[in-house]
Amino acid sequence: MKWLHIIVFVVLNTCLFGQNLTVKVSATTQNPSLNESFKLEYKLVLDGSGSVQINGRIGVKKPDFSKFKLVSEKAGRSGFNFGGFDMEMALHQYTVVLQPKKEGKYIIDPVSFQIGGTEYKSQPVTIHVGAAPKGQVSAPATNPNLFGKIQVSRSSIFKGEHIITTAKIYSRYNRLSLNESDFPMADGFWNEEIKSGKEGWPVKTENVGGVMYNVYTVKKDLLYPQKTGELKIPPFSATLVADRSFFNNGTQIKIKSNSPTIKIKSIPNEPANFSGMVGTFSMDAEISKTELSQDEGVDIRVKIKGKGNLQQMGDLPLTFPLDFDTYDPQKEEKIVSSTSGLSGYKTFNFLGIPRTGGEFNIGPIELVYFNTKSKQFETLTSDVWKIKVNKSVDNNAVGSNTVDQQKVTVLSDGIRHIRESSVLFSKDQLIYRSWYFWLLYLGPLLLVLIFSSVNKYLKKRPNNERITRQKKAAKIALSVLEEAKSNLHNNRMNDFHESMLSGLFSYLKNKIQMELISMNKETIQTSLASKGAQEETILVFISIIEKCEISQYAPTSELGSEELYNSGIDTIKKLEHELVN
Amino acid sequence: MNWLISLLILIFCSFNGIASYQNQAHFISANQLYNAGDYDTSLLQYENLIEKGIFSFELYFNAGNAAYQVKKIGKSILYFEKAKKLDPSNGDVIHNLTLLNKLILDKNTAVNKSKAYDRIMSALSRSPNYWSWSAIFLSVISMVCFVLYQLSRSKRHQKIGFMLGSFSLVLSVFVLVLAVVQYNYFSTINSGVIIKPSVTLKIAPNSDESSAFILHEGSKVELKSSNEDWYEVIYSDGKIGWLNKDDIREI
Repeated sequence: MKWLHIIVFVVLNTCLFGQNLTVKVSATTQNPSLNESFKLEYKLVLDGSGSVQINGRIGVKKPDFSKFKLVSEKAGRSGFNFGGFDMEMALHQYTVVLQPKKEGKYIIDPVSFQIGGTEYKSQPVTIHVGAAPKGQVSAPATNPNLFGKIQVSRSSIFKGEHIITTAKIYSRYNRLSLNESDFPMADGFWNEEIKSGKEGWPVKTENVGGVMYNVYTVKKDLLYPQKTGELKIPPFSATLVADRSFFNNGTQIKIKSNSPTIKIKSIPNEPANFSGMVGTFSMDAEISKTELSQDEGVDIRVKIKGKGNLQQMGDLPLTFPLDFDTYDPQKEEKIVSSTSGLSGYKTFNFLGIPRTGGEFNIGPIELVYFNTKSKQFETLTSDVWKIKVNKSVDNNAVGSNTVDQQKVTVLSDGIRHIRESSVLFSKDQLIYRSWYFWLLYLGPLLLVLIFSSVNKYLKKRPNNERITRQKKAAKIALSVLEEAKSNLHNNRMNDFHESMLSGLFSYLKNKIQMELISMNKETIQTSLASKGAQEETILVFISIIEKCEISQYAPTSELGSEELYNSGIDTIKKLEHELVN
Repeated sequence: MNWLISLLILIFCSFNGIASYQNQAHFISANQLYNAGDYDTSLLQYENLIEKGIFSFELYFNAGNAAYQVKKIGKSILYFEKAKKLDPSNGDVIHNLTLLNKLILDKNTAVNKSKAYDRIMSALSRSPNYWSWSAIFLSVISMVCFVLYQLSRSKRHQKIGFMLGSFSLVLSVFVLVLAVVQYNYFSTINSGVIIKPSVTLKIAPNSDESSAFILHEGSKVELKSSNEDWYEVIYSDGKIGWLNKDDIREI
């Protein structure tokens, strides 16, 4: 038999690992309130059918439960579990009962089962711990046999979300009739009663603290908070008669229910243009026409439909261009209330009448709401309608009296006729700012400056020449006289006298700027005298000139000529001394 | 008479080249179309010239007339205003503008500017290059005088030359200033005319801003400041608002 065991073991092991082992988690609630204990069940489950034998111990690795109060825990092998038609086999099971210590959101780490070296992990569990409900837990009734209770669907909501309040009467009496009741309106809520239908709300039985009660639902309300903060729902009061029968008047009992408090939070990061609407909505918007003539109306129909606080919807922000006459929109709505809140639609019909022609843009209509599905703010946006308004042909439609006035003026006077001819200019023909304008304007002035400086220079240069010639006058004259001397030695007397004269004249010309034409005895005398020459020297100079002139026509001796030459040189040298300037 | 005018224009144009001659021909043909009653086509031709950067008092004046005939009041006022800018004291253009201002929707409370200023501007704006050429001419005159002054031997001639030269130099500087003033007057845009049938002015340069007031086609506004797409304008009654540059045409 031993070999058979081995075979079975091998087969089973292959079976075991061939099949899927998963860890399933179930919680009695994932949203417990404070101090409400809840149970978590972790099951190591084999998918599919078949039997499995586990060899060896199954270990359980527990996460940290320190954030909760551990009420009890149990681990062990469980048998087959027949749940419905599904047969589920839990190989191992771990159960823990926890009680929250604090409000908030907690993630409980996975529990894992260990078989041999393999580990099977569960999913992590998220637990939202809400505030401890204040009168919601089975109220300590003054009369344990009969008490009223207001149950709220949720105790903490966002503004714009709805709650449903259910007024219930818990009774242990067999016969009960309601004499009178008072349901005060809850302050700060928009209230809509939910119709029960023909049969009324069904009577149920409920176990409160181990005692069975008949539970009568008296009233169900749909409430939409209008403000944030903690709002109290006022208790209802009722007078009931119990155990009334044909023989018995019964006992009259007055009851007053609890008064639950609702915490209403504002939605975080609320945009400035938030409409206040919460739910799921859609928008249909259409325009009647996009081309029209002046003074003809244009309709814009906007339909908002969906689920949520539709009744709270104010006006839609549609502004026509300022040249339009506008009217208050026509509204139409159909809203149905049920336990899941309000649903239905609202339509707005806008009418605008353009008073002038032109092209205009209308829209878009925007509606910002909080989408409860996606948990964020969303915007419904309509199209932007481009409309063309044709100016009406009849100008009188404008209705201004100036037009009439104009007609009179046109008849009597009219517009002045066009000009037949013109000198046209091109913008690039403007010479100002062009480079040649400045050239032409500044050029002449520049030329004047150049001209005057050149002129000055030219006037200065002859002066210099005169001065150098003045300085060199003696030298030039002596070199000419040198020529005269060579003529004398060669016995060319005529030439001698001529060169003597030209030497003396060149001296006068260069030294005191006398022109040859204006030279005669008197002018030479006055000119030399005015330049500071001695009377005596002047006379000698003139006599030399005279002698030379005479000798040109009457031959003289060579001896006299030698003397004439020497005295000429002497006189020039003397004059050179005397004519300082 | 017509052939004489054509001849004169031809002579003038021979200085300015073929393009200029073509412009003249276009202008004349647009005038003929106007006189024949084909206002649409004549306006189109005037506008073609204007778009090419051609301008003259008469061109603007005729374009304003053509626009008036086809009931484009905004454009008509725009062109008359442009003509008026070139010759502010011209009686015909003032007459036509007064007529047109009665046809626009917005009540115009504008007070006419001082007449003296208009007359000075009219005098200045004889022809766009008038003062520029005058400045050049005077500059040349002063050059000639100064050269003569320097070349002249006689003291008297020198004196006359110097005085004339200095006088024309001072005068040419003055005329240059006039040319600058005239150019700046032409090239600065400080007002505009609404050309869309109805314009909603905003309180800030953004179409999402709230509206300040409405102006209609043909109203003249002063331009105060601008950014890329918007002008801040002052209407004649002192209201201030912003409008898109597409809604307005500069004068």
